Formats: sequence, C-alpha cells, structure tokens
Amino acid sequence: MFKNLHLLLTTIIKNLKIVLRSPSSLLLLVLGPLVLILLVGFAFGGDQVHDINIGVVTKDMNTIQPIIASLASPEVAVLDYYNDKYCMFDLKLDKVQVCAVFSEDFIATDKKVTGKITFYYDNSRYNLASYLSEYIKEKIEITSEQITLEAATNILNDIEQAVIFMQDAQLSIDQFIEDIITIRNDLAETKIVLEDIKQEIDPLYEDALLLQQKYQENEADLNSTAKKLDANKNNILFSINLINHQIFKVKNNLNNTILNPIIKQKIETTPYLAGLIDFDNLYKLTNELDVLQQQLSSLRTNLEEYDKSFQETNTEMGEKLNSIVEMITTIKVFVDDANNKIDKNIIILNNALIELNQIKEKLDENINKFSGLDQSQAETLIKPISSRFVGMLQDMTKITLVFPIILVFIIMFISILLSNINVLNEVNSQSYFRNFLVPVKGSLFVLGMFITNMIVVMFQIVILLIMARFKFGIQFLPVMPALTVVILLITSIFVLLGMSFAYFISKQQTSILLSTFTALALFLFSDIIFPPEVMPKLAAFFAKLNPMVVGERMIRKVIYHNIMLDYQIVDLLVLIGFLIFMVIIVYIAAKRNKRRS
Amino acid sequence: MPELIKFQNIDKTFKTHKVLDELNLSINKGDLIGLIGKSGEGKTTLLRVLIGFYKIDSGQIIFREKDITKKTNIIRDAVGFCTQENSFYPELTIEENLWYYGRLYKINRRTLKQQIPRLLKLVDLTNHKKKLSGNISGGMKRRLDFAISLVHDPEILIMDEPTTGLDPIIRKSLWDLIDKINKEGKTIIVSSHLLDYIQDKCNKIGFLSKGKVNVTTMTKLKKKYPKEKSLNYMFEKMVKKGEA
Repeated sequence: MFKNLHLLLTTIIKNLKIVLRSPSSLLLLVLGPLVLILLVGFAFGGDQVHDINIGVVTKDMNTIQPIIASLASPEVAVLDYYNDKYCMFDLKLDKVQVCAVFSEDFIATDKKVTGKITFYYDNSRYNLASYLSEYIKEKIEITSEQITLEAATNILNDIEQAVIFMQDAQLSIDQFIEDIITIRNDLAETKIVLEDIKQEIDPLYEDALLLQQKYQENEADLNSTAKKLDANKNNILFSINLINHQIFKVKNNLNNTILNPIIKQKIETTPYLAGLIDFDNLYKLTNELDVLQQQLSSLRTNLEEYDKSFQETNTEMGEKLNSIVEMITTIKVFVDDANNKIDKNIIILNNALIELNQIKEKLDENINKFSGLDQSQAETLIKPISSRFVGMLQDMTKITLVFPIILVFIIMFISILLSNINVLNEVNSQSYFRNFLVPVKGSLFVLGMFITNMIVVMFQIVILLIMARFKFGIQFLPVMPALTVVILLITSIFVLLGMSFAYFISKQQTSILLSTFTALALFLFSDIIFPPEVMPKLAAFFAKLNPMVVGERMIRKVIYHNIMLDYQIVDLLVLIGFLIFMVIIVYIAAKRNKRRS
Repeated sequence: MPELIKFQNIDKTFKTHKVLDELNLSINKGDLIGLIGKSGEGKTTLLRVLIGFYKIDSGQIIFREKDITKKTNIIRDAVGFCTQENSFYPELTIEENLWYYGRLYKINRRTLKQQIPRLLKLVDLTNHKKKLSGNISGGMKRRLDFAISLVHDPEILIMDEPTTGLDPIIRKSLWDLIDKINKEGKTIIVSSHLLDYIQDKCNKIGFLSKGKVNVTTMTKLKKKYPKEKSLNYMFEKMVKKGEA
C-alpha cells in the first residue's frame, strides 16, 4: 500500500513537472482562470439594461406622455416614429430594440389610461428580448397601475366624500325634520293662539265699530262744543287781557306817582305825609299785582293749551278711533289670513316631512352601500387578486447570481480539455511505452494522471474562488465543506470524461475535437440557454441529468440557500453514479489503449 | 555460461497472422546476441515477448530454471528495454528521468542516489544531468535511453534497433557502450540491421525467419560460408537460400 502510494506520488510529481515546465501551460494555468473570471465579471457586472432605444409609433405624443415618461431613463431613449414601417425597419437595423405601436384611441393621462400598445421586438435576440420584455412590462404595468389606482382612489375619495356629505345631510335632514316638526307644532300652537286672539278681537272689533259709529254720530256736537269752548276761551282771554291792562295801569300809576323815587323821597321827607303812606304795603301790592299778572298769563296759556288740546283730542280721537277700527280690521284679516296660511303650511310641512323621511330612508340605504368604501380599497378594486413576485435572493448582483453556472461551466471546459490534452500528451509520448515495462499496474498511471489533472484543475478553481470571494464578494466560506464535495465530484467526472476520450482516441486532433464538441454539447444541453423546464419532457429529463446542470443546481442550493448535501441526496447520488460510470469507462479506455500500444 | 532464460515452443498470433511459430530460444548469462531478420519477420514481436509485454499463445518460458509462463511480471524486473526511439520524458531533466523510472522500478532512494551517478558516468552524461532531456543531442538521448533501461540494474538488456538514424560516429560510440555494458556482465539481446556491428560485437547471432529463430555464432557461420567475408554477405546468401 505504502509502496503504491509512493509510486503514485512519483507519477503525480512527474506529471506536474511536465505540466509546469511548459511556459504556456503555466501561464494558462494561473492566468487562464484569472482572465476567465475577470472577463465574466466584466461582462456580468452590470445590473441594468442600457443603450436601449425604444421606437414609439403614435399620432400624438402628448396623449401618451405618462407612458413615455415611465419608459425613458438615462439608459433608455424613446424615439418618435410617425409610421410603424420606419420603426420596424430600424428594428431590423438594430437602431431600435423595441417598436411600441400605440393604438389610435390610446390615451394616457395622469388620471386614466385606455387603449392598446403592441410591442415588436427581434426575438432572434432571445436574451435581450427577455430583458426588454421584463423592463417594459414592469414600467408599463407600474404606470398603468399608478394611473388606474390614482383614478380609482379619486373615485373612491369622491364616494367617500359623498358618503360623508350624505351622512352630514342625513343629520341635517334629521335636524330639519325635527325643526319642521317644531315649526309645525309652533304653528299649530300659534294658530290656537290666533284663534283665541280672533275670539277676543271679534268683540273688540264690534265695540270699535260701535264706538266709531257713536263718535261719528256725536262728532257734530263735539265740534260745536269745541267752537263754543273756543269762543269762551277768547272771551276769557279778552277779560284776562283787560285785567292785565288795568293792573298794568295801576302799577304804572303807582310807579309814576307815589312809588316814584323822587316823589317817594319827597313824601318821606314831608313830615306829615311820611306817616300816612305805608310804602311797604304799596310794594307788597305791586308784587301781588305782578303775581296776579303772571297767574293771568298762565291762565291764558293754559286756556289756549286746553283749547288746543281739546281741538286736537277731538280730532285725534276721531282719527284714532278710525285707526283702531282699521287696525283691528287689519289684525282680524291678518289673523284669518295667518290661520289660513298656517293651515296650508302645516299641510306643506306634513308633506315635506313625508318626503324627507323617504329621502332619509334612501340616504340610509346609500350610506350603507357606500360606507364600506374608502381610498385604501382602490388597489383591491383594481386588482382583486394582489400578486407580487419576490425573489428569494435580495440585494444580489448579477455576477453573484450567475456565479454557480459560470463556475460549473469553467470547471467543465477546463477539466475536459485539460485532462484530455494531458492524457494525449502522455499516450502519444515516446516514454509511454516504457511505463508498460515497469513492474507497476497500468491503473496506477491512470490514477496518477487523474490526480494530476485534479490538482491542476483544483488549483485553477481555487484561483477562481479567491477571485470570486475578494473581487465579487461572493460568500461561500461558511458552506465550503459541502461546496468542496460538489466541486470535487463534478471536476472528477469531467476530468475522467476528458481522459476517457484521450484513451479511446489517441489521435490528438480528433480527440481534442471530440472533447470540445462534447463540452459544447453539455453546455448547450444544460440550462444556460434554455432551462430544462421549457424543454420537451424527454429532453428535459436528460438535461436535468447533465452533470453540469446537477452540479450547478447543487452549488446554487449550497451557496444561496444553505441547503446542505443531506437534503440533496438524489443529486449527490446522480453525481456519484456518474463518477462510478466514468471510472469504469476510463478503466476500459485505458486498457484498450494499452492493448493498442 | 549458465542458461538464464529459455523460450520453448512459443507461439504468437495477431488475428490470423502467426508471427512466432514454435519458437525456441535459449539465452545464457553474459551473452550479447544480435538478432537479425528481414523486415516484418517479427523481431519486435519477439523482443516484446522476451520482455513480457506480449502474452504468448502457447509455449513455455523458463527463467533461472523456473517456469514463469504465467508470471511474466517477474521477467520485467530482470529485463531492461531500449526501443528504436527514445523512451523518456523530454520535459524532465536527465537525472529526473532516471529518478522517475528508478522509483517506478521500486528502487529505494538511497540505492537510487548511488545508482544514478554510476549510470550517468557509464553513459557519459554526468555533466549534463541537469539538462532537460528534450534539449540534448541525439546521441545523448540514446545514451540516456540506455541508462534508463539499466536504472533497475537488469540482468538482461534488450535493444530494438538502438542506433537507427544516428550518424556513424555516434553509432560507433553507442556500440562501444553496448559492448562496455555487456562486459560489465549484462546479458544483451540487440536487434539491428547494422550487421557489421553485430558481427564485431555479438558473441551469438539469431536469424529470425518464418516465426522461428536460429541462433549461431560467427565462427559457425564462417565455417558454413567460408567465402563470405562479412555477415552482410552471409545474410544475403542465407536469404537467397531461404534460410533467413
């Protein structure tokens, strides 16, 4: 066992020396994977479409502004075409990548969107078409949805406002009904009061009429009395004036005589006369005469006022009596009229109440219908089934997402071609024959070659993984054990495949071509271009068994979903099956090759 | 000299073509046997049977008086083989090639460290041991091939057209080397069309014809063909007579 191990080691060291002593091989060994991963990273680094031109065929650009606004971006230009033929021609020339033909009735405003858009694309550019359709679908759906949602929200908002208004109106109607009832009751009460007033007015009216009649009958007497009174007043006034005149005369005589200061002084200075005349009494008399004069004057004023008052009262009384009769008549008519109006209004109010109650009932119904609606239900109304596709892997770059398939793809090509070339070099080497002369089993050389190839490929894979980890930040260290198992398995399968071709067909050109075509077939019959899910069932069955597909599937699950190998037993067994199968094939091929040699 | 290996009634057929037909050959220790024959007579087949590369259809192989017909692996350890073309890796140095094959013959490191300088000295490649085998001259390559064939110190060295395509000077030096190796005690079987060297260097000559080998010596041949001065004429005559 130990001896065989050292023989194996000797063979491996020899093989590695041969590989590493070729400067071109050494360069490819280190630079190959580096260049590959950098190229792949460079190619898959972007996450958005860019340099895309979308041709728009429409009669009026203004009618589709929201759609244009949503489609255009710094990476996507929207070009205007008047005719779909020109747009299609440019599509063939690849000047535009999509032609969007809007129907004539197409209208898109901020509030509504109607009409039809037909997108034409070059489906021979399958991958681009897929990206573009996804981009446009997303943009248009979002715009359309936004517009419709906004419109629906507005409608619902209006409905909501209407419901609020109806609820307010309902309250107003309630209040109105209440007020009407109150008014009706007040009117009824007023009518009762008016009826009472009428009951009271009617005798008053009768009395007023009677009084007016009596006044009219006595009006002549009263006028005569007034004239007599006026005449007497004049006589009295004349008498008063006469008295006043006499008093004035007396007073004047006194003042000009005795009470004259000169005369008075003489009298007072005349010894005998002085005692005879009492000046104080004279002054007192004078004063009393003044008072009398004033009283007469007041009497005259009173008489005139009285007379005037009497005349006025007489006139006024007649007028007032007429006025009272008229007023009472008006009141009476008013009361009758008011009663009639109250009756009519009560009838109108009753009818109004009936109608209002009917309106209220209808309002209740409508409020019940619409009160469940609000703005938040707009989305539900537009999209009864709310669906959303959410990728399990968030915040991942494209390079990260395609890393498993790139890794497996590189492993496959490197493993098949490298092992094929290495074995071809060996079997076509002049020294190959000598290996059969040494006392070592042929299988040891095959094993040595296999391990050598594995070491070289694994070295390249390590470089790839290091680049992937540090250049692209792909996290796989936590799942390294499982990842290593899968990588070892698929590398072994492809290395053995390449080796078997070399052992079966030792002619270099043919063998390398066969390896290349096989690698190409595995590539095309994988899920890189079309997923097996869209292939015919039989083809999909075989494609799913493609070790490249199985390996990619396992690596993807391990890296992204942390699904370890115990949950991937079937795939693991498939790979192990392939490995066993390939070991047998290589054994047979090597035997056959030895016989040929 | 004691008999080292003996082939008795060996048959070997490829499809319908019987190449070896009840062939008998006995090789003694220290022999230097020159094997000659027309092209296509089965020289290479015989040599490959001798080294145990081809399994025989019938017959018996006796090695050191033991029947090893069913265990031809044993003979591989005792035989070194030089092909018509160089059989080593041009990407390895002279020393690395010797080391590699020495290890494959399961020679331990210590022995190999002593054996390789000795062999390099024997084939006069000591000063070139670090050179890549692909970069050395044709004569050096042949000498390296000899050295590789001797790396496991075999008792028998079998050479198939070892000097084909070489210039006369190198050819001579190589025959001298064969002679030298033989004198060191190795039993050598060499196939060649260079009959002059076989005449000069080999103590036995084997004529292969119609699946059988007839081993003789120059002395016997000279007695049989006294008028012929060289093996070339003798062989020509034998061919004409149908004896070779």
